[in-house]
Amino acid sequence: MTGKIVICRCEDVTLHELDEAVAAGHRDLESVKRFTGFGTGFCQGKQCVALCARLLAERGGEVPEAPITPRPPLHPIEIGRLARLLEDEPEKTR
Amino acid sequence: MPARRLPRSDDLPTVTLRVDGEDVSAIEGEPVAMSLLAAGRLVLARSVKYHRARGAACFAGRCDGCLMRVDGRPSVRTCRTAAREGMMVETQNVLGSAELDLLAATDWFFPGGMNHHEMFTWAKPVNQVMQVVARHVAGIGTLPDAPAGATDVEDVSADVLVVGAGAAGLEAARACAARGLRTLVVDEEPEPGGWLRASLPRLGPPSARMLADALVTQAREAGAEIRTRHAVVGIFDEASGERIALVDGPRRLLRVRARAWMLAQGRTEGAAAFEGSDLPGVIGAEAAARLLAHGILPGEEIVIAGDLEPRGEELEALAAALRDAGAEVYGPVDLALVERADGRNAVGSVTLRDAGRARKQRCEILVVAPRTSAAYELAGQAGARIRWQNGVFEVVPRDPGSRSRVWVVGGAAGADSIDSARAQAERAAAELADTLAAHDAAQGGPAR
Repeated sequence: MTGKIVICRCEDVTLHELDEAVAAGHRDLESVKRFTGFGTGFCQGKQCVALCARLLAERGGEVPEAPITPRPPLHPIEIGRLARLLEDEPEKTR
Repeated sequence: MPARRLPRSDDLPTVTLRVDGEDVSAIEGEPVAMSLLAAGRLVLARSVKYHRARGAACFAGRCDGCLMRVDGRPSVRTCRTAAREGMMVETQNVLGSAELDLLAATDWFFPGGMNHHEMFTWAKPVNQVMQVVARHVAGIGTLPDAPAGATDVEDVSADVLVVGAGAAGLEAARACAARGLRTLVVDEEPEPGGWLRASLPRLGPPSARMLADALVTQAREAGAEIRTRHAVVGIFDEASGERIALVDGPRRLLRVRARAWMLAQGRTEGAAAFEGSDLPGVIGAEAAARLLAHGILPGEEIVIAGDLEPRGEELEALAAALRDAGAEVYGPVDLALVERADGRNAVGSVTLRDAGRARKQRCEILVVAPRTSAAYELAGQAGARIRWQNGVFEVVPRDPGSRSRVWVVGGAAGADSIDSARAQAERAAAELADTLAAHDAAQGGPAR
């Protein structure tokens, strides 16, 4: 234990880093995501986004209108399997 | 005492896993992360930057805690992997072992965390050296032993794709199929039934499980097809104007072209911020319920802390179920009282602060149950609006008269009971059928 408070476990983002983001002038969820990298790891924010939004609002940040944009893949998948979709449509890949 | 299996009447076949060179006994088909917990292995992985100890926290494929190398494939979610005879399970990304990882030194070097914007940027050569170091220290796993095997791609067309086979999804599927719509249901879990399969819902076992079986039978009898272990990877608008869902199944990828979408993926538990909240042994309430449903008691001494409004009743039920299974349970207590969780590799105690007084409570498992958010990701991708409400994210209800072909039902749409989820699903199915029928009438006959 080193006194860290981890707010995004996939990317090891700490509360200290969120405070640094706020101190650097970031007030909205998207900017803080880009600054700290929360929500960009293996779970793509399923665990941490609501928590980070609450912590930001508590520190005078904006109350979010929406979460960070959910993008595919919503479920981790091997890229080799995705590539198989291209083999299926050879004329489109050339 | 650590986790243990509860006595059970049925005699399930066992298999042997090979875990970091040791044999571990498991029940065939159960999630590997659960087999490991039952065998006393709480620490399964190390975190990406600081190599902090990690254990499964959600047992639902929604966290980073159980990633291991399985049969030569890296970063496999072992909570979503069915135990099979001879399966090779290895710790990844450690120098030493999951329990003692020398790379954890990074955790001590950077007590506040790493600020990538300024760190080691003062001289270019230093920056270049540190990039090389960082690439060795950070990351999760190394390349697979062999390329991914052949994957079949199956094109499926349906009137309705139902995502999620819990109470709402199954009821919606039955109601859609009963109206003559070609209905496909996909669900990530090995069995349909969603939360009815775990022991947490208000109905309680075994009647909840019987209800799940009944809903599955009714949906199938009405003509719906149900595919389990199928997870939606994304939803895409094609140039042709069609909308396609890419679905990851055990042997093949599905490209599903559907005319309408019924999303019933329930809710996500999320995390809380306190020192030690990421320690192995800190798990969600839904995770605890899942473990009990698989006949595993996660520990003998358990503290439950949660947002008692609105989850108090549910957490009381969980506490009762864990006590019935033989655990000593403290709580549920208000999550705001949790000051920190202590332990080197796994939680050993929790410090609670009430009216200025701190008190240490010993525990092997700390159940953390914050307010839940709607599982909104797919709905958001499909065009539904998501809003912030009472400190969590919720899906904005569909406007009556909307031309959208997306419906969200059940827990994801705020239903707070099995009955209300089913009623909501029935209404949505009727609306969906009317919408498609109106479209067909306008086109002068049924569309493809």
